[in-house]
Amino acid sequence: MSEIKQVNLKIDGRDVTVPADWTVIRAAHANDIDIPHYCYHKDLSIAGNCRICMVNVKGAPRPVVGCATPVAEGMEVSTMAPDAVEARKGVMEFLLINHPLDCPECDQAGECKLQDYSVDHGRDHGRFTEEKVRKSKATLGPHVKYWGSRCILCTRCVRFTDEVSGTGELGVIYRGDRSEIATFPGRALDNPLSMNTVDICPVGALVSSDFLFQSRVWHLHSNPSVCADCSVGCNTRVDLDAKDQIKRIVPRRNDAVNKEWMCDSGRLSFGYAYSDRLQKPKVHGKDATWREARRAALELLSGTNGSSVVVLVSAWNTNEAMATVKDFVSAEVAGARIVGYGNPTQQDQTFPGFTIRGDKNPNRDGLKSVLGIADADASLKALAAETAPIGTLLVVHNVPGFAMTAEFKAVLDRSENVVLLDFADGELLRYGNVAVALPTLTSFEKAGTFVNHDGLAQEFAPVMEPVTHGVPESDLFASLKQDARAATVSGVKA
Amino acid sequence: MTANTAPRTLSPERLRQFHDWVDEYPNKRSMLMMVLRLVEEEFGSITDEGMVIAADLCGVNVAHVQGMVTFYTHFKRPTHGKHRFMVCATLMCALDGNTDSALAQIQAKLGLKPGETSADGLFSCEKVECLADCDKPPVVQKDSEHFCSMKGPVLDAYIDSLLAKEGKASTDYLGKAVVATDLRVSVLPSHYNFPGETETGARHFDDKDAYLAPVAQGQAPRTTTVPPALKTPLTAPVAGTSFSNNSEDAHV
Amino acid sequence: MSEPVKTSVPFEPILTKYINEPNAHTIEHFLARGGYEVARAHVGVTDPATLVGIVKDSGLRGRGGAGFPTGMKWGFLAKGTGKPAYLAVNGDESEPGTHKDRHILEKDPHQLLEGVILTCWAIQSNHAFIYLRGEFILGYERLEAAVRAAKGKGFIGKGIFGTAFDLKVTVVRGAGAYICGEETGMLSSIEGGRGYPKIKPPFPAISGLFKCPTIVNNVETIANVTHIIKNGADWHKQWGTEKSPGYKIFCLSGAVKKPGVYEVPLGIRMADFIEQYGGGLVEGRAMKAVIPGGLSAPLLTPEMVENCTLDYESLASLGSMLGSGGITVLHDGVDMMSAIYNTMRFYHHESCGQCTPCREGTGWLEKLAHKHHSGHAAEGDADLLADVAKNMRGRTICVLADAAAMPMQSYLQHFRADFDARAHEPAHAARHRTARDEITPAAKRDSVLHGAPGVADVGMGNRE
Repeated sequence: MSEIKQVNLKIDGRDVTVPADWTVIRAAHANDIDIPHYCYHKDLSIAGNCRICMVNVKGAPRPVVGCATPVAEGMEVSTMAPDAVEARKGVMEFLLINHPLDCPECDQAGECKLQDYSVDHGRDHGRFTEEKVRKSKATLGPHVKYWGSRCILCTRCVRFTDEVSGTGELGVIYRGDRSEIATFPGRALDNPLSMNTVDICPVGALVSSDFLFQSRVWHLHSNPSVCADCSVGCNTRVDLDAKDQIKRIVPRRNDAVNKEWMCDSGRLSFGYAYSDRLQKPKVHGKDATWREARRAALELLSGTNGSSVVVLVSAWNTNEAMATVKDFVSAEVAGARIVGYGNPTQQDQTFPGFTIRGDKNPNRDGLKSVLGIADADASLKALAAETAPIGTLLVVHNVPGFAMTAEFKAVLDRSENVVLLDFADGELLRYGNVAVALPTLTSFEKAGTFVNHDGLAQEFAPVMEPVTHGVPESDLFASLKQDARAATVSGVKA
Repeated sequence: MTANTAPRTLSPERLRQFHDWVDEYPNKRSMLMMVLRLVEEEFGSITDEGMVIAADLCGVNVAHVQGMVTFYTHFKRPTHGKHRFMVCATLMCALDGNTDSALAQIQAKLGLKPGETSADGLFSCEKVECLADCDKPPVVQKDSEHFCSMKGPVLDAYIDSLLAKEGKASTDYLGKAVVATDLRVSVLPSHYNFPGETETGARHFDDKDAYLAPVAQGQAPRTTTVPPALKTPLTAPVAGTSFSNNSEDAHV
Repeated sequence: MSEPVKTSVPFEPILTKYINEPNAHTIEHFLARGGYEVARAHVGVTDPATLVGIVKDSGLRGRGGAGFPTGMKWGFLAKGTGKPAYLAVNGDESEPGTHKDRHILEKDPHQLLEGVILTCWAIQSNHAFIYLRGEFILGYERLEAAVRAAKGKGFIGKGIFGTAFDLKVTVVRGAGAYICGEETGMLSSIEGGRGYPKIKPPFPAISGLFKCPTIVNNVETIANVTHIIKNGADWHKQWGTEKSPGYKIFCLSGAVKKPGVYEVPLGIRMADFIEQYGGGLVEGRAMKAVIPGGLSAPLLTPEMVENCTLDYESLASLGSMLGSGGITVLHDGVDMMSAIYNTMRFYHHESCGQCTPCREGTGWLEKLAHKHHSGHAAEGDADLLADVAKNMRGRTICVLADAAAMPMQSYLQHFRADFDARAHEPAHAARHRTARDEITPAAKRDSVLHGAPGVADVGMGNRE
């Protein structure tokens, strides 16, 4: 990479130094100086059409747009010069004249740039008394709806489908103030990244069908998290309502991982936290107390010869969980074999500006680095190919939407007893020979670290209180270890 | 739009014209304006399937083509009449009531106000902005024919000649129902309606390949090579189109 | 105005000399009058920089409206970029009141082509695009035929005139968008997109068509090139004024006895032009105002017309512009509120919708103008108009917003009394009234889209 020259300029009296190929708005934002913007987006091409980012540049005859004006050595920019303030005020008024002002029923209200900038830069009353232009309401795709009259034609969504998803479903139709965003009839906006258009829409024109009318955003509280849907490990913000229910997941900027994008599947994949959860420990299909269940599990694990125990660890577990598994096995069931597995790998979905990984596991890398399993799929395959019966199979599962493979079934079928750690009351639990089931937590409810496809370890904290009696693996194995030690001391080894 | 029409594509002559143009443009996208003209000639107007064909020929998304067709107001759409009257309504023509007089004459003959199409789809009338012949108002364009000083007996005679060509009389239109020339495109694919909404205008398309028979057979039409000897000149007379009228040559 | 006008030099039409001769559009006619000889003499022979120098010295200014010196523009073309350079000839001629290029394209297309060949050699471009507005049906046909004929003679194509210089000429048709007359809007259209103007800088000379260096010139400008190179810079400067040398085609329309297209030296008095070429005003009418340079030019009152000469500086000093040379005379019977409503409807219809101030502002201006036209305006609406127009100016990517705001400002300046006369209603009444006229919202939307009766314009004052 060739070295880009740095230039010095002044923005609102502050000296800043930025690369010479930056624009004024980028230089300002990088230095925490706010310049309002609608059409400008760091990861999209410059459209320069909203005209709200007008700033005064010393020597220029009139205000210029910050988003399209390159920085220059010695430039003096003022965001609060009277002519720039006047220009923004004018633009703000134009933006609102044909806007329906339907904030009370608009999903965007509370996080709407029109509202924000109206307060900061607009005038205190409207002067427009004519009929407003009416535009269509349309459903653009399975997850995205369009309210034409709220649209400010910033074309962020069109540029997104052209440049990032590369699918080009969206276009601007008509001309002038009749312009609307539209798909071609029958060609819906249904690419796997479609909901990013909702995020980048600065106003309430594009809304998510899934979040529509679910909650007012000021009733939500947010926690940062990391998406577990694939090995990209998109940084997310999980929005929850007053009852601590997840309402939506949106991307959080991390230029090293996901920029500001994430896939639709990732943001809609929180349903498993609420449905078919394993509420309580079970022993042979019957609800049990934690003490009973732990004792039953210990009997099956440490009562047998270590060589007849196999531990299956999925690539959906955190580094911390894997480490405690390893620790427990070496302490209590020495000699047990640890095998990795995960959701089968699919084809990567590559778009011009984003790749959804085909590896539908958040932490395959953790299996390698923590447990030393270089190829999880191969290790499971090798195990499945064997015929010797397995005494006890400990499965540390935690895989939502797991499709049981023939290999996995073969291993289960060969096992005398299965001890399952999972958050779900799912197919695996009902498969048959699960002797003990111990409830764990989803990644929304526990802390941990996932290592993404790029080898980047990303730590996350719980975003909500557990909805079941489940506990994190680290706590569970610590208790098991404690139980085992207590049993040894009192000599009641079963 | 319910009937599943047979796959259509451009005629061999127009495809050949397209291939002739390929050398003249740096990329296929830049041919879109001209390809849309070919589509307009082929189908008589720019239909939805025409947009799909143009998108495929130029390698662009059909949503973009739809944006083009709705941006440029002179492209003929299916809801325009077979004979599309465009009357210039910009100031230079409108002065002294010239535009109004031309519109009144059209209404008197065909019963059409601007923005209306006759029920039989033969005639439509609309007001357009400047047609660039401002010294001889009123200026009228009928499809691809340009007329200036189009008033009085000249305009009447011209409309009569069209009526005669179609075997119609003025009485077939006066006082009869008309339809609004609806140029809006459907933006609601039917399978994604808002709850409780129905959209009658929703249209469904099969895969675009269906409209390009050679593609379906694994042969992309744009890569078929046309022997240079067969190349047609650009404006070789094409049956059914007319470029005959000029501001001086006729109807002065 | 202070400059001496060289009216003593006799002038014969140059660009339009042959437009009334039958078959002037054919290559045979053109060759018979010495056509393509200038191109043959210079292409592959003369140093391109010399040609640029001649055009620079001639003081030729762009005829499309802005009046930028042509030679200087050519000098800005980025060199050594490793990308091809393009010439884009603007034949969109979308400014209402202007139809000069139509005559060159329809009746003397080879004159344009020779200019294109010389220009391409001067700027070392191997590919010229000529963009015509869709309405030029005959012009397109004849220009295409001319390109074909010139190709047949080896004047266009590979190794033109037997030199090693290749030249492609591509003709593109528009389809009814005023904005494609804006140079970067036209480039977007040639690239196969909606005619959205592009952000400047970079200017087209640095990064234009297909992100390559591009020179954009008007048809009339390019047609001039041949004559200037043939006869020299001093020949061109013998007409016109110091800063606006040469001659120009003007289009005269409106309330004159002989409307039409006239080629005259720059710098003559506008009043003389209207009187001598246009035959004066129609019988029984007096002049109310003149739109001097196409619809977007601020209008002139009769007093201003008396002091006005047809050159860039004179009109600029009067707060207007020479523009594209479309002069429209409004007579005393014209209802100015009707005229401004019509004008605003045009810009509302033609705004591309890219920039907020123009997209929303043109519609607002039209609606306010409609109120004044229909007598439903309120007190203070004229002030609001002025403020909206002011907020639109200089705030957008291209100058369409300015083009809409300028006439509004000039009407307000010169005919404020007409506005106030229609402001019948007190401000508070207007704010609380619904359905104040016959235009329903649906009709409004449709009408703007499709020219339906909702915004039917009104009869201007009757001539009889």
